[in-house]
Amino acid sequence: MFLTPREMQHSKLRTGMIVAIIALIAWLVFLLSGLANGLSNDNGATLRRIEMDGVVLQEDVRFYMHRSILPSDLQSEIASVEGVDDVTPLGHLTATVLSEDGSERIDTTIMGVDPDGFVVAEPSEGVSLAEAPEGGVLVDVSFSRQGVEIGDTITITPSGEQMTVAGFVDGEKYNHLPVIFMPIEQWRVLKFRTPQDAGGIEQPVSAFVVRGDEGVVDAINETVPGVEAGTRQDAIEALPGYSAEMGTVQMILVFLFLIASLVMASFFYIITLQKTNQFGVLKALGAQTRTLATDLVGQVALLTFIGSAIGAVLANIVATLMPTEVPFYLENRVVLGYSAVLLVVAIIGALVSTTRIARVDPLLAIGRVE
Amino acid sequence: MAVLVLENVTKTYGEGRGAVTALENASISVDAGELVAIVGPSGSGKTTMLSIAGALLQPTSGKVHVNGVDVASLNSKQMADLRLREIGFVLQSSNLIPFLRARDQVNVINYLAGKNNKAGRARADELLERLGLGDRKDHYPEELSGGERQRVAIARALVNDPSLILADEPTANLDSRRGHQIVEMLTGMVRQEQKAGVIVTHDERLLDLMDRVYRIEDGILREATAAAAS
Repeated sequence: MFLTPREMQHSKLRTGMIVAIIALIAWLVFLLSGLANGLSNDNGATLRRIEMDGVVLQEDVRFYMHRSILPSDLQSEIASVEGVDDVTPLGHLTATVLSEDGSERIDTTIMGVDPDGFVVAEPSEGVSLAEAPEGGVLVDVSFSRQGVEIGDTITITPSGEQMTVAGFVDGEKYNHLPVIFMPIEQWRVLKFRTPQDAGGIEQPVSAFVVRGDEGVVDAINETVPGVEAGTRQDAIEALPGYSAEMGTVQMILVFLFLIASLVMASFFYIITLQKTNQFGVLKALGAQTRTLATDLVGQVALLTFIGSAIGAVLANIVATLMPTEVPFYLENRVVLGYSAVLLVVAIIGALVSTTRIARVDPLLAIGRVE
Repeated sequence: MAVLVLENVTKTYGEGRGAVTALENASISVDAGELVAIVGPSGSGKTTMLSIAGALLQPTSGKVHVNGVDVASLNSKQMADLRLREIGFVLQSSNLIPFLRARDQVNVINYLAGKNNKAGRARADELLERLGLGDRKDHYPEELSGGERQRVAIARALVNDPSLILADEPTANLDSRRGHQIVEMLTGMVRQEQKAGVIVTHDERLLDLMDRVYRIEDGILREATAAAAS
């Protein structure tokens, strides 16, 4: 690397512009992936948080939690399947609650859980569900932005059931809605107002969450009739809208990478074309194509590295400035991964240009190719 | 010993009826410490001759030896290597690398030859100083005059200690006084360092600085007698 640092030092403006373009592309990639991750987290945050190895739902409901109804007594049957360590019921209900003074309507996902089971989150403020008094629930901390405080009474609308906020949990979202955790008996009252609602099933629940060995999902599918078991990922992907959201964002990312690679490749190609004469001179002086090509690829790698680093810094700045309502989640691992992809894409683009270097005739240096 | 030997070298471009013979049966031999000028009008085959002598182009037929190496037996990679080790080019003034300072114009050869070390850089500095560029080492080509650029090119040609120096119209873009000065410097350096020198030019006023003069016309190379040359 003799030529690259000197060229960059001399052509500061051009170097700066290339770095800026790569930085902007990297920034866009990081922002978009941050939003994609944020969106995906937001949609299934609770499912991601629960330490589990499988979810059991009713058969033939396309793994939709809100359509699944299972009898409670299935719990012991599932628990007896080989490889299952722990089973806990889960109730799901989408509802709207009114804040204490009735000024705020908050859409929420209500989760009925066993207060002593492993599904309910630890409170970040207030008491746990097991310690909460009768009628006490845990609500996601985002409720506090609507003015909800511990000890407040919130009301399900329109049916009017009341409950007391016993504590806050952090970052619990299901289907983009903040979660309310309540004992499963209390949930059952809200969800099934008449026995017909449950289709005659005694003590209904929506699902069971399972901990156990690796093959526990298959084991349950094989041995327990009338249910469908799946992994955490299956459950996340079955969230309404999840695949569509992720598909859209991922499509944008893929196109962004395609465009980035074309932009960078053509940039490098044009720069290489501009330098045809210099390459001719260097070749006449005895430079091997390989030396010049290595220098070009090294230069591209260096520029992309600097550009990605700047893009990462910018993305992190944006992340801190982003309002909390916008789901944005950027992991260093993802930044590194996408930087590596950009680097590979840039190097492939540069390799296209090296074929140009290979074709440069050193006779150019004599100035009059005949 | 002859450093550059061309024997019955012919170069033909194209094939069949459209074929053009740029160089026909050219023979020349240049010894170490000897300076030879090749003069001729444009289109006479000067450039072809220089390209073949400089291992940039393979002849259609005939033998080319540079410091004992048969150029015909080399592939393009080996030709590049031969140019790097054995041949110093003084190209036209526009052929410095725009983003390199004078010092680095010379050091790039050290880098390519794997000699960008203390000794190599010291040699580059020494050459630039001998050529009167001691205070111009950190200047870019755009900040140098035409004559200074050519002096940098001379230093670049000599730094890797080649056995053959080839100069392509070294006085182009220079006024006649400076042109003469540059060629004087070049011939002085070539003699001091015991190189074989070949200078392609159309400038007849430089010929008094040469040991021998060849004239080329329509691809035919002939040694000019001293009388004809002056």
